[in-house]
Amino acid sequence: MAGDKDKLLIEAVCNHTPWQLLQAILKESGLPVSKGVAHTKIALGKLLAEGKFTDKHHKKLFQLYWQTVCFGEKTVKFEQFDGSFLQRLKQAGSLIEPEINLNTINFPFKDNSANHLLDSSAKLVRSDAMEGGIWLFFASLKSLTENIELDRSYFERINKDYNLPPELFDVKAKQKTTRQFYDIVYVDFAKQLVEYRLDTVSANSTDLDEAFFALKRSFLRQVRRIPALADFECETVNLFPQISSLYNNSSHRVCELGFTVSSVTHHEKQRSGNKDLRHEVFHIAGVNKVDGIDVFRVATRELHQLGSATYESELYLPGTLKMLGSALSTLEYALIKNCLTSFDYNSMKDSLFPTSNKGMLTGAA
Amino acid sequence: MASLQARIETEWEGTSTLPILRCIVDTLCENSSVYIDSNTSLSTFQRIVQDNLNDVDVSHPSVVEDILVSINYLLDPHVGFLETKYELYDEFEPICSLTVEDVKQAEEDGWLVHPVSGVQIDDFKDHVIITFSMLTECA
Repeated sequence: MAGDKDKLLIEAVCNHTPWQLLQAILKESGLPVSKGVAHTKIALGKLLAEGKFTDKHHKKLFQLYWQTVCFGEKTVKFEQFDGSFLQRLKQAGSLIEPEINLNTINFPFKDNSANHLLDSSAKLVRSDAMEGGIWLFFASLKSLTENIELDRSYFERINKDYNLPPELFDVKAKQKTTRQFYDIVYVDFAKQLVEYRLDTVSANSTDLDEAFFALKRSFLRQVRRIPALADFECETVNLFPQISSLYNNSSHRVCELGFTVSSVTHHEKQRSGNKDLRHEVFHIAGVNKVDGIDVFRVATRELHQLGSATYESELYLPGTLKMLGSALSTLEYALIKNCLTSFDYNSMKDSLFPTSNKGMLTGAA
Repeated sequence: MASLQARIETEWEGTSTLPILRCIVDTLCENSSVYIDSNTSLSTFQRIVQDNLNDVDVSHPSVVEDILVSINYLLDPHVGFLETKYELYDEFEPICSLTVEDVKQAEEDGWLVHPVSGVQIDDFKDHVIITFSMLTECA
């Protein structure tokens, strides 16, 4: 049984950790690193089969995986609740009970053998009432539309001995993928926010709407069961105004911008380097020639160090040009990516809602 | 930088490379804030030459050769004016920077490890581009 969990852990860590960071963490833990994720999984599997994967290794990798479950790649919607609910929420947090036993689905791992226990509705699998807020973990089995490339490695992955005709290349397809999701609802007492963190950053907008709707419905069902919170309500925070605010004030590096000047739309990106687009020569010269620019999309990044490796967490507000056309435009979600710790995640969140957040969690189930 | 410009005049005197090399160095020095820590492509060097040397056809093989020779000279560690950069591209935009060691290892193995996802990229030569960056401010 312990070996099964170790297998799931190795699979999960290798699939969810950016490669450079995975290498740094494995080296730091005295674990083998081979060339690429696939070979590293094999090397770790071999170590496990030889009985050399110790409890210490498990603990280290589990801590890493747990952080990615809580803070990794998230599409996030924020809702504000009235201050009159605050005390009631603080008192009632510990009364919220999970709907399914986390051991039956091997939470927090994604275990396909437990798929039959889940469906598209979000089921509460773990709740933690903390000093700073309430954590609720929901499990579901959802179908998402993802963009994929049909190349040789794709056919190898699905064990099909097939090659595209040689004259065809860069063949893209949309794939409906059904997989387990661990979505999170975090009730932040300090900011009076309910935070819906979907376990993806690559879903299309229709899938996102459905996923947020299902998550909110499950959350409200849980909360309103408690008599003192039967009338609990919260309202979506419009993130669109934050786009120009981040452009003007963020202390993080701006790495993507969409904006208009007069009737011309501009897109600027620099994810691969380390430059802040606001400080680029061309951008400064252009902005100085006009009254101002109307920003409708922004992404910011913050650099972090882990041992000898560095990584950048990202906050992306994917507004559209159309949103500039109405005073009532709303952007309901943000993408928060590549966060390895609560510090990384909260730093991104604080740039949207400035104040500190003390909602810390450990991974012990 | 005066010493580099003087050195160029001496070392390349009488060659067809000299005006092109001089033009590249002068332009980069005058606009160092643009070219330091940049990803300057080969076509940028061609444009610089085209804009500044009116009688030169930058698509002519001998001119292309002179541009490449100039870049190569400026990359020489003893000259220390340019450095090479490698970037991994998807279909439309750069994904991340690569180190020289990443590229050398990929050449040896015949495939590249994607620095973010860790997956194997067999056709990495189609996705890696070489650019150049000016190393230091001109005096």
